[in-house]
Amino acid sequence: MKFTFATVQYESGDWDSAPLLAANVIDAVARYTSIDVAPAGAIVPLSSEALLRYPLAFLTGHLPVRFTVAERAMLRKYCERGGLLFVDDHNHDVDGVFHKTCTEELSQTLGPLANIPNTHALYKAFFTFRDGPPTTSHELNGWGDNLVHDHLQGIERNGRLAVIYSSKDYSSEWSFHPENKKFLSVDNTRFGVNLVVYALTR
Amino acid sequence: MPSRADAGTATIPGQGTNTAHLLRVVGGVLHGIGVLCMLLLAWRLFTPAPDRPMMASVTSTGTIDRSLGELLQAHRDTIDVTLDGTPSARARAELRAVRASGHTLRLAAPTARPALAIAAEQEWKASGGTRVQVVSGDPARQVVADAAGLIDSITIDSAGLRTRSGPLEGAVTVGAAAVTPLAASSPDTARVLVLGAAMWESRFLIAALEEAGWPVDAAVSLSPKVTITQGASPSPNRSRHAIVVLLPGAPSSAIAALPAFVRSGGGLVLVGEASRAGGLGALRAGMPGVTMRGEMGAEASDEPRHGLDLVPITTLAEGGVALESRDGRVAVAARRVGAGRVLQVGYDNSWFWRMGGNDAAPVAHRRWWSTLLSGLVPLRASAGGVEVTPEHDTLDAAPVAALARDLGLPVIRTATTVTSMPASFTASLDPRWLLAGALLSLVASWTLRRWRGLA
Amino acid sequence: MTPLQLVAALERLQRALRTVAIGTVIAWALGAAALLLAGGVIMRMATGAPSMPVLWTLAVCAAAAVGAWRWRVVAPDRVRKLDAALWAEAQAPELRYALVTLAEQERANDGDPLQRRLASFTSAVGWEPAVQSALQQRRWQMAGRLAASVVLLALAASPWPVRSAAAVGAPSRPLRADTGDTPPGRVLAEATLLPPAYSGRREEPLAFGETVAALVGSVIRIDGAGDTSRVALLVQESSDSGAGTPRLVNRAPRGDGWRGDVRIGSAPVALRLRDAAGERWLLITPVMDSAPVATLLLPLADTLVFDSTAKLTFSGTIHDDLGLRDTRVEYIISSGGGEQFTFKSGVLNERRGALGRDVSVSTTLDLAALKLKSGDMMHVRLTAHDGNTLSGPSLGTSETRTIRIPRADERDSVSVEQLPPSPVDKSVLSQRQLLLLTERLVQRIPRMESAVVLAESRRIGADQARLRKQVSDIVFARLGDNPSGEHAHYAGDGHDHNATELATQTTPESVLAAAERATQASSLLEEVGDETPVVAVNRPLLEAYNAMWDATRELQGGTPRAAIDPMKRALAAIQRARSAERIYLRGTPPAAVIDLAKIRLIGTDSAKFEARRSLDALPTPERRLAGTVLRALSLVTSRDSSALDALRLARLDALAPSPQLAAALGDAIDALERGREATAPLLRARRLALAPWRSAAGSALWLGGAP
Repeated sequence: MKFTFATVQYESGDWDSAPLLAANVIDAVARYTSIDVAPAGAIVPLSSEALLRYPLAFLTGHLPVRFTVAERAMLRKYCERGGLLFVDDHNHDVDGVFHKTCTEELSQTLGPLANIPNTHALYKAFFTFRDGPPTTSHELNGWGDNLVHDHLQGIERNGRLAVIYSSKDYSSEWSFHPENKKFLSVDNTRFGVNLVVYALTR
Repeated sequence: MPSRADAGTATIPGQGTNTAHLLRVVGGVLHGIGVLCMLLLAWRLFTPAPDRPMMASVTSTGTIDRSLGELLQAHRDTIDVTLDGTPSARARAELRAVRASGHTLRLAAPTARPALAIAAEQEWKASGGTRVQVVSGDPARQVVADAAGLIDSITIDSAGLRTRSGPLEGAVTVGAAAVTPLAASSPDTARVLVLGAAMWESRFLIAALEEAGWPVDAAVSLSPKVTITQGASPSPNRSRHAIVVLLPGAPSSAIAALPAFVRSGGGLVLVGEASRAGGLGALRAGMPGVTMRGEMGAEASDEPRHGLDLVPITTLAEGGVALESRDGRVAVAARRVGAGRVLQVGYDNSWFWRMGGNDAAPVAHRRWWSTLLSGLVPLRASAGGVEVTPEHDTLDAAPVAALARDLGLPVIRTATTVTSMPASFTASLDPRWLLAGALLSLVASWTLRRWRGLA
Repeated sequence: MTPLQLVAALERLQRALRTVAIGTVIAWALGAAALLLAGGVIMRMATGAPSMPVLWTLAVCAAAAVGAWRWRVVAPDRVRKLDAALWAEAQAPELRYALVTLAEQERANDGDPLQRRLASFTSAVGWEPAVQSALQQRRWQMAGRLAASVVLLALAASPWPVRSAAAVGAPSRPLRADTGDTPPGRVLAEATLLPPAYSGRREEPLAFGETVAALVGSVIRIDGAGDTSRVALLVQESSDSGAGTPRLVNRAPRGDGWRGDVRIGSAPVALRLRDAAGERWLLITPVMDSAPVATLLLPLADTLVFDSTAKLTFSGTIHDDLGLRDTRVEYIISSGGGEQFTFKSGVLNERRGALGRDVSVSTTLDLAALKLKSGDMMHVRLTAHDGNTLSGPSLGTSETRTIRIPRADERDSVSVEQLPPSPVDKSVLSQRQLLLLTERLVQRIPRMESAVVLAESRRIGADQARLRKQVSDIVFARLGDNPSGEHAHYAGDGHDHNATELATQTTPESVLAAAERATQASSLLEEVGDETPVVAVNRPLLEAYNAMWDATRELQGGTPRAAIDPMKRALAAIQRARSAERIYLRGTPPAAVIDLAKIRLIGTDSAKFEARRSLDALPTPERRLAGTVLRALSLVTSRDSSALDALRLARLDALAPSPQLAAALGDAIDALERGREATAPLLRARRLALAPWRSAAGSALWLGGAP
């Protein structure tokens, strides 16, 4: 069974706001590892049992996040079983409605979010990011909340991360066609490799 | 004309008549005895004496009181072996060799020795159960209990029964026989090395083992040049690892070290497609067949492993034992190779059982793997003076059971049965005594006749 | 006898009768109290109520009432000398009223001839033995009644097994034992459950030996009699890691006794009261206060509202197990699209206060007041808090409904969704990068050989061709034609290019033709100005596409300087396309399938990682629980005196992780306490606690157990 990068489809909000992110992460995984990765990502409803076939899943959006009862139950089951949900705020705005509603939903469903220390294994899973999560151009440009976020946040289950929550807007940073990577002096999707390797090995 | 006897009789009137009568009767009896002895002598001489079995016994120290050469060169077909003590592995090997040479071995045991052979062993703490093996001569339903009370009742026969339960308290009692389970191996001897590629199966299997308490080393390859490791030794090392779990995608350098690892006493688990790896032909419990897809949705049913992909084990290798089947195909098989043991698990992607199964799935997945691996952990070195050899380490947990499996169950020899078990009547008649008896009785008979004046 | 002596005898009789009357009144009072108490105890045995203090109060009242009534009837204080004489005459009629006559005299006088005659007549009759006998009989009757009343009272007041003990009063009040038999050394104690104040529930008396469900935050109050040194009050918590170590509860002296309080957390708790007579147990299982449950009934599902001035009705129900503190309807309105969104939020129909356990919500919202625009979305839900002041308040929310105001040009489709960032945006980057690369190349031309310039120029030209293909893909996808768009080829792409393929290669003209065809085929969109919307939307992209063709041609021909101008035009056109109106259907993100074989392991950045660290073993409560149960069962089998305590501890252990096992152990404990057969519940407990016994036939070729 191949590793397939899955994007979560939820009832509220614009779950499909970063359609090229999956391709970019897949591209990065293939560039640096021999992990048997599927060439295209999958889209899986959050309330569906099919989610359990993808122990790493990605959730993004700009709009309010309100999980349904079925979505909450499935998310709880997914994380208890060992799944890892990577959530990214496409608004890059801690006062934004995505941040407020999504963190509220996650806390209600799985417990409070806590800062992930920048020495966490996530940042040393494949490439080493000494300063924690890599900064995005959107943070540097001053878009969103004018903040460069020092930490990602997370929720742990049984000693490993079950939820990673990002306010850094990787959804914008990584949503370009992988062909364009050749114009970048430093591949800004390397952190995506860390995410995948962390999910697959820790 | 009256004879002298008649004259004699006439000379002793009254009393003389009684004496003569007595002498006549005694003479007749002696004559009869003499004839009988002669007949018996003839029967004894013309009837071949039965072959008397050779006698041997297993002493209280576990050794046989006769040498192997003596036993093998015995001219008798049958050798009776009395178990006065628990046979050692060497004694059992010698007895098996004698039987293989064409002799019939008959085991007898005093009443103190149980008619049931029981072996009990605590599993290593990660699985936390107790394994019990029972062999019985007579198929019978026996009550199993421990110090905490009744457990169950089971039917046992000479083919034996392997059972497993949760923890037991104190000695295990089957019928009237009791045995204290051997202590589990120490954790240090149960370190597991997981070899494979970075994929969900390796991730969830390592997690399941660690959550169950197994100490795990791991080498998970990410690319030809990059391998993520855990623990001091990422390659099979008998001095550190008890078990190696081989998953698909493991580096070939590690696979090359596995035959030596197994033959020196290590346990090996081949998972799914990993059993196809080159260089494992001599280790596999059976040939891997064509991969079958799991039944959609079955992972959440009562038969969760029906939902997993399966690499069926088509032909069992010599000594291979099927432990689990699915739809008539062997799914899990085991085999002893040299001093080590190999377990071949046909299921691929068991992680999906844990993720997609019912509420009990995470625990069940963890327990299932833990139980499988606990069967590979070597027994703790016995402190009870039982000889442990690599070949017979597990069997020494139940020496009588092992002997019973090979040679049949011992006959229980009680005090009554000892007296009621004489040699055959004809065999007990010594021709010399018969001849002497015949001669003496005939001479005495003739003497009496002479005395009476008849001869 | 003289008259004076007779009168003295009468007075003695009067006093005796008065005493008997008083005794009878007391017997009546005690009898009444005893009867009431007995009735109350029988009721308590059946129902657990009323409490003993209530019963005692009622008994005292009954005794007083009956005593007063009997005093009034019998009137011992009004027994006169004449009454005594009449009573004596009744016992000895032969006196023929001589004694009564004598008693009626105002004053006894030995000198009075009448009195002397009466005295001599009375003396002659010999009445005293009969009267004394009758008096003695009355005394015995009175003593008997008194004794019967006292015995009945004692019986009723003695401890009987009841469903729950009496309520706790002040410790100075006498306490009673909680079980029928009071062994020597037993310290009298009573337990009361005090629920948290916010729950509004009443105090509840508890009986030792019971398993009680209590709200988290409740207090178990133990009141005991006597000195605190005679008794130890211990509390032991159960958790997934097992029953914790018992710890002493602080007790405060109170009156002639003591009081200890234990607050119930989220873990089951055993209270153990230990004195010289042994140990009494109380098991408490915590009950969590549930969060409110909100259900939005209207609107039933996500909705499109075409009229942004409409009035919408929201209704729903909210329930809480104890009581609601506030309820409201929350909404968030999001406006905008692409990367630019604005939000505003508000609440409707907010209610606060003690709202009870069930609340119905219904409110109407005037959309006109919110000034919604086309494309806006409103997310609506019900929220409520309960009154939990200890660990809450807990929040309950309903499912969220999304109400969308569609754009005017989207009314024919319900599947139209918000715009995601267009892939064209990302093409801008690449076009800009290509332009930069070309400009840099042009700057370096004087220092380069022409062959190198040609090669470099063609490489950029190939990239330009790829980018042009992407633009073509987008245009074709929008036009509803073959989504794969242009099958582009360029130098060095490794393909074999035959004449047929090249003949069918896409050109700007063919793309424009396709756009026109799509325009005529589509009746979904209205015309905007003098152009069809399809053309209007795609014109900038088509311009970019044309410019890219020019740029590619120049680059492939080795004249990068000439390519700069069309590349700039292409970039400008793409910039215009960003702000053009776009429609994107949900569920069809652009396909991006990675050619893995092409890129596998071409990354040049080297990995630098740290070794994996092992995870901690998970606690295995079931194994620990199995061990605890096993040890307890073995104690029962060996008839150890501590078996019952061990079973109780095992039950405490099992309360949280395995209620079924706890129930089985409870049955076994109950059976053992009552001296009944306990094998069945013990066996059930064992089967629940331990892994099942699994067997597999076969010899010992493999000793790995049956998996």
